Amino acid sequence: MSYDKTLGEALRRQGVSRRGFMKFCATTASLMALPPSMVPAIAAALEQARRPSVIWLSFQECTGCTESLTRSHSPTVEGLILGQISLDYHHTLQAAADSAAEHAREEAMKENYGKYLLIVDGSIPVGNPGYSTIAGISNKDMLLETAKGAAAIVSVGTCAAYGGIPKANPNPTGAVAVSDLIKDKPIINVPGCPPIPVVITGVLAHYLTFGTIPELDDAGRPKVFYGETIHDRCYRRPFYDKGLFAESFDDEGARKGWCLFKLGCKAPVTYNACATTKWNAGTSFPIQSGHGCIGCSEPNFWDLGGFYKALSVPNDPVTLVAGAAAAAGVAAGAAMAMRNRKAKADAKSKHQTVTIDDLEK
Amino acid sequence: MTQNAPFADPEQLSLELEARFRLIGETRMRDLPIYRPDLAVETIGFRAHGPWWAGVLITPWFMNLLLFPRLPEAPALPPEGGDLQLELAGRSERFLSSRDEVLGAYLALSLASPMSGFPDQESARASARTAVTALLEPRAEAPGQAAEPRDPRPATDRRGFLRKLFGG
Repeated sequence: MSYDKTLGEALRRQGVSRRGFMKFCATTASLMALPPSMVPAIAAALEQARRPSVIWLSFQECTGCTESLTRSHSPTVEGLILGQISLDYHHTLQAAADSAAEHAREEAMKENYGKYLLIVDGSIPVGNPGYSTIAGISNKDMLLETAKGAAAIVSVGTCAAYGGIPKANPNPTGAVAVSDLIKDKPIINVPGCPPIPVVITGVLAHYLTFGTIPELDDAGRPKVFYGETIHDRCYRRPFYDKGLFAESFDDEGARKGWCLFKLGCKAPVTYNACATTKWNAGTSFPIQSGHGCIGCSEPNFWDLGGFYKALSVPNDPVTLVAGAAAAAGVAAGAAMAMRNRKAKADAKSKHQTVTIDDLEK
Repeated sequence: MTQNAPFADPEQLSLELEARFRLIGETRMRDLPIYRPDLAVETIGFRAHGPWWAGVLITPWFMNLLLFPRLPEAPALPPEGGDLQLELAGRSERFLSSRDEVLGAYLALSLASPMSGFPDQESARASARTAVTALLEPRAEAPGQAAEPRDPRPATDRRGFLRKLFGG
């Protein structure tokens, strides 16, 4: 095993050019909203970074998170960076099988105890340990055991972060999120169904660069990537502002690229970077392809009303803390929106949805 | 599309802007569940800012910082939905380009939408004023306080940036 290799050495050995590496650093900097002057510092930090041992556990999941990460990004340098961490255990990607696979996990845990990064995708069934097992070990037992020696945990995907689709009503397996079971480790939630690949690698780059976990919001998400709603950054936003909406998926408004709010778009309450980083190497994102956002990176998105029902945000001042903020004289609407994240989530869980027919009355 | 004819002054722009968005509110937005009937269309702090007229527009469904071309040297605006990166309060911000049949071409930076975070018009107004001060007025440095030391941690998003600016 070559734990002592730095990322810089490993990348050069892999034939990644200096230019390609710097480009990755620049992209990372811009993604993290850092000034360009920080690029050399990021490059230096990443070059010197020891390849951390990473153990990736997959529980009740669909492998979409791994698909997202590996497919859309290979063969770019992000993919290589990920290849250059020491990915010591990953069901889908590892070559080892059978007891050798489990041995790799135990070995990595022992050698890097207290230092390895644990990445989890999938929710954990607590209804019955037999619902999902790996090598005869229940998901819950494997998580508790592996989390013990982890420096930090990254919950990749909405399932690991919030329970996701397995947790959807009526939650037949008693699915829970990683943070429901682990209380004594730093946990970074990287939700999305699946998450944006560059956001997964960006969180990793942040960890490697600064040696710390990034600043998180109330829902445990890195603010650098989940700080704004998709609606705030959406290229269709000018149409929303002017009240120009597509009324059906094939009307004139749809053809003109008008706002999809009336068709159920959840972008106004969905915090993610889709509108700026986009998907498939910056090609497009759901709204650009003509479909509303389904809010897949938000907790319990599956049970928050229909995907095609227009969002209703109740005006319920009781749940809002904006008044206090205004009184304190720091009442920036934008700032309050952040403070109100929790209030908004509460409000959202109560939100009423209406049909297109209701809207057209 | 050509650039719109410049507005004579910020008062005229504010009046036309309010009239236009009141009409949009009445005719297109009123029945939507995201519309706040208890809030009103109101412009805050429009003034000359570089080659632009700049200020904040409050509506029952969003609050934006808006830039309208004022002088010929204002950069050409991209097609609707396109973006333009502009320096504002020492930070590069991504503005979205918009076209309206009455108001012409302008740029928008979202401050809030939906408006559920504001209990009433007064709180929206207070936030808009804070945003105008923070983003459009040169910052006076308090005596004995040098330029803010650069935070070595990653600046987060615009909201985090604004919050930091407002001391939240």
